[in-house]
Parts: sequence; C-alpha cells; structure tokens
Amino acid sequence: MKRLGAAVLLSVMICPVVALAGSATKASADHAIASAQTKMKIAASNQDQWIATVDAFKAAKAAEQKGDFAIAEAEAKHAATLADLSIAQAKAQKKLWQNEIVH
Amino acid sequence: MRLAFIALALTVSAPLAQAASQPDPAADMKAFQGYFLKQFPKLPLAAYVNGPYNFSKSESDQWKQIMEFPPYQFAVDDGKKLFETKFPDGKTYASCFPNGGIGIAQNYPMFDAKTGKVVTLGIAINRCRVANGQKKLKLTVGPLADISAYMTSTSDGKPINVVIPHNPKALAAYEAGKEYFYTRRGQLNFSCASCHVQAAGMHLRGDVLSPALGLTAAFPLYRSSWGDMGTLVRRFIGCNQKVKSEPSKPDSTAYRDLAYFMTYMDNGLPESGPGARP
Amino acid sequence: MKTIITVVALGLLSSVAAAGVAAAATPAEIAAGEKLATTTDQGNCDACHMFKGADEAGNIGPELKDVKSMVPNRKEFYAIIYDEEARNPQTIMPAFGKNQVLTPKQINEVIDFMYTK
Ligand code: HEC
Repeated sequence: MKRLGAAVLLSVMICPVVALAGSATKASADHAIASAQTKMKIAASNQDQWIATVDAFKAAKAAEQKGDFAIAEAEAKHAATLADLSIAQAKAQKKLWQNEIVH
Repeated sequence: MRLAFIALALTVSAPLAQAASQPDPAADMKAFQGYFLKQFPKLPLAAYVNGPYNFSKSESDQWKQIMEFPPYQFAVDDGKKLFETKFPDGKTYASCFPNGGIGIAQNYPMFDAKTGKVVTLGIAINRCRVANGQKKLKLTVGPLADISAYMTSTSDGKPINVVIPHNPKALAAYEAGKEYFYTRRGQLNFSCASCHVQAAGMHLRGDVLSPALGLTAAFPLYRSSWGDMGTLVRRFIGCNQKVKSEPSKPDSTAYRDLAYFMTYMDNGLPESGPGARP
Repeated sequence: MKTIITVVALGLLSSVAAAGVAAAATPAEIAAGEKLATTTDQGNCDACHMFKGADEAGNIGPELKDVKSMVPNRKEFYAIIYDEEARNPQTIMPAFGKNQVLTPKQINEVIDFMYTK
C-alpha cells in the first residue's frame, strides 16, 4: 500500500499523464518497459547510463513480475525519461567536451 | 544574406575543425603538464605522483606514519609468489613479458598493433594466463592487483613511458580516452576534469581532489577506505559512481583508452606504485 | 509582504512549486531541506559548500552564508539549483532539477533551509 502510494506520488511528480491513466495493463507496462530498454541501449552506447535509470528500470521489471502493472509502467516511464536526459547530455557533450580541455 | 553568413561561418570553422581532429599527443602532454606547473608553481613535476598528500598536511603526516609499514607490502609479497609460481604447462608470467616482466610496468598501457587495442598491465597479465591455459582474473582487486603490485614495484622510480605509435588506431584510442576524460556524464554532470582539473587541490567533503597530473602514477594502491589493494580501473569505477553514472566494464575499450590517455599525460613522472591512500 | 507576493507569484508560475511554498517555510520544510542538503545521495550540498552546521564540508563552491543577501531572489535561487549550467556553461554545479536528482518540492525545501543560513 505504501509502495503504491509512493508510485502514484512518483508518477504525479514526473508524468501526470500516468496517474490519470490509472488502468495500466500488462500490455501497457510491457510496452513502457520495452520502450525504456531501447532508450537505455542508446544511452549505454554513448557511455552515459545513469545509475538512477538502471534502478528505475529494475524496479519496473520487479513490479511487472509481481503483477503491479501501474508501478511497472510508472517506473519504466521514469527510466525512459532519465535515459532521454542522459542521451541529450551525451549529444551535447559531443561538442562541449572540447571546452574543458587543458591548454 | 543569412545564407552568406552561414557559408562564411562554415569556411571559417572548417580549418579549425580539421586542426582539432588531428591528434597531437605530445603537444597535449606539454600543455597538460604546463597547466599544472603554472597552477601550482611550488610543486615540482615529480611530486604530482603523491596526489592528495601535496595539499593536506594532516593527510601527509598520517601517510608518513603509515609508510613505516607500507600497507601494500603484503600485496607485493603475495604478488611475487604468484608471479613466480609455474602454470601447469611449466611456464611462468615471466615468459609473457619483455625482460621477464621485471622493470617494465612504466611502459603500460601499451598499444597492441595486432588487435588494434590498448593493453593495460592488468589485461596483459590476464592475456598471459589465457595463453597458458588459465582463467582470467578480476581486473579490479585480488590476486591480479597483487601481481601488478609486485611488477610495478620492480619499476619503482623509472620514468613513466607510454608510447603512442604512428598508427591511426593508436591515435584514435588516445583521442577516445581524451574525450572520455573531458566529457561530462552521469546524473551529476561531471567530467573527470570537473573534479581533477577545475577543482584540483580543493576539498570534496573530506577528500582533497588530486590534480589530474600524476593521477595514475601510484597504482595499484592500498586505500584505507577500501581496506585492500585496487587497480586503476577500480578507481575509475568508483569515480564514475560518484557522479551517478553506471561504470563501464573493467576491460572495456572505454577504460583502456582512458587509461592510455591519462597515463600518457603522466609521461616522465616517476613510477611510484604500489601506493597508499587514505 | 513582499516575500509573500513573490512566493505566491512563484507558486502560480510553476504549478509544482505551489505545494511547497504557498506559505512561509514551516519548521518541517526547513528540516526536510537540511536533511536533503546534508545527505550524500540526495542534495549533498556540503560535499562542495561550507555552511554552518555542515559536517566535513568541502570548499569547491562558495561558502553559503547569509544566503538571503547572496541570492535574495528566490526564483533565481531555484534556477541555480535547477540547472546552473544553463546560466553559466562552465559551472560544475550539478543540474539537480533538470537531471531529476531532486524534485521541485525538494529544491524548495533546500531553499527554505538555506534561507535560514
Ligand atoms: C565528483 C568529483 C570527482 C569526479 C567527477 C572524478 N573523481 Fe576521481 N577522485 C575523486 C576523489 C574525491 C578522489 C579521492 C581523492 C583524490 O585522490 O583525489 C578521486 C581519486 C581519483 C584517482 C586516484 C588518485 C590517487 O592518487 O589516489 C583517480 C585515478 C581518479 N580519481 C580518476 C578519475 C577519473 C578517470 C574520473 C573520470 C571518469 C574521475 N576521477 C572523476 C573525485 C572525483
């Protein structure tokens, strides 16, 4: 119960749409997990996977196994958001790193 | 009009981009060492191998006390035994290295033209094991750290001498390591340089941040906070985690290239591993 | 009065802030902010900044003292914690908000706490 509360709170904070959805199914959770996974692969190939992304993803998988699809979907979407942020960071750094070079 | 402006910008930036993409490790190293020598004019080049101890009297006093019975001595002794133990095929580690593995640690990481990859001392030790029918060891801690500690101890004081041959793959590996070092990553958005260049000598909580120059010179080392010996990649993993970034694999290309760049920057400094840190 | 107006304006501007700062900071909010500011895997402010009451603080960033006159504008303070890199590309201050290390509510709690320093 407490976990559900936390997950709802999390989803309200991060993505209000999720909270409204309310009717997460196995299919919707699996879809969110797959989509997070794709993004995480890109982040990893940029050598910029965040620990929080992996944590959220693991939580999503664990919830999915237990049949807590709402939590699974919220966590997976959180992982995807974090992966997106790290991908954007890596992209920007492809140029910006040069500013830090010691001259 | 706007188009013309863009075209102008392109012509101006093109030669610059080209210059930037032509790696010049020797010039980089000169600038790198020069930067720190100017930043800390009282610190002679060779002192950089002492990392944080240059900046904290209490830590360096503690260190002097610790060094009366160096905590890495067990590792060196154990490493020597392992180094001299015969593989089932009758050969030893000595058969895999130039000069029987003695006094050569300062030349690592090395570029291996055959595989087109950078080989660290740890990876070379594992290659030797595989060549003699043995399993690879962990690259971060344990027996491999001990063997590295022994081999490094036989190079004590020799100038670090990493070579980047005129091979496009070697230069690319160097550039990749350089980019890794200066690239911000992790949820906290730090590069290695954020802490070890921009904040060098300052305090991150209780730790003094060692300058990037000399960072690799005392590895493998005993850290009191680890409670045992660790290799350079163990430290890479720890520093990645500090910025909330997933570490790479210990034998990853990313870490090999990073070690290649960083150790090349330390060329000429005295090899001073194994070391000890708070 | 002025602060209340600022705070209310801020609350209206940013829906997420509304919960945190609708009124003057409560002791609970300040305590929550202190915990965030000194907890290693959260705000961890004292890893880099000295402030009164911090234990083994670092000195990479400026000392946080008399913070109300340092950053009198709460919105600006929020922006510094949210993503200082957007304002100063060279900074090594992490983007706690943009990178979701801290939630908007948590950032506001940190501000509440810092305004007591
Ligand atoms: C958030 C700050 C921070 C960042 C970013 C960081 N480090 Fe560190 N690093 C530390 C601290 C703290 C220590 C321990 C004190 C010291 O020796 O500097 C340390 C120590 C080290 C050491 C051991 C130095 C010695 O003499 O014992 C190495 C090597 C190192 N870091 C490499 C790296 C590399 C490579 C990166 C980038 C991937 C990196 N660090 C990024 C904070 C950081």
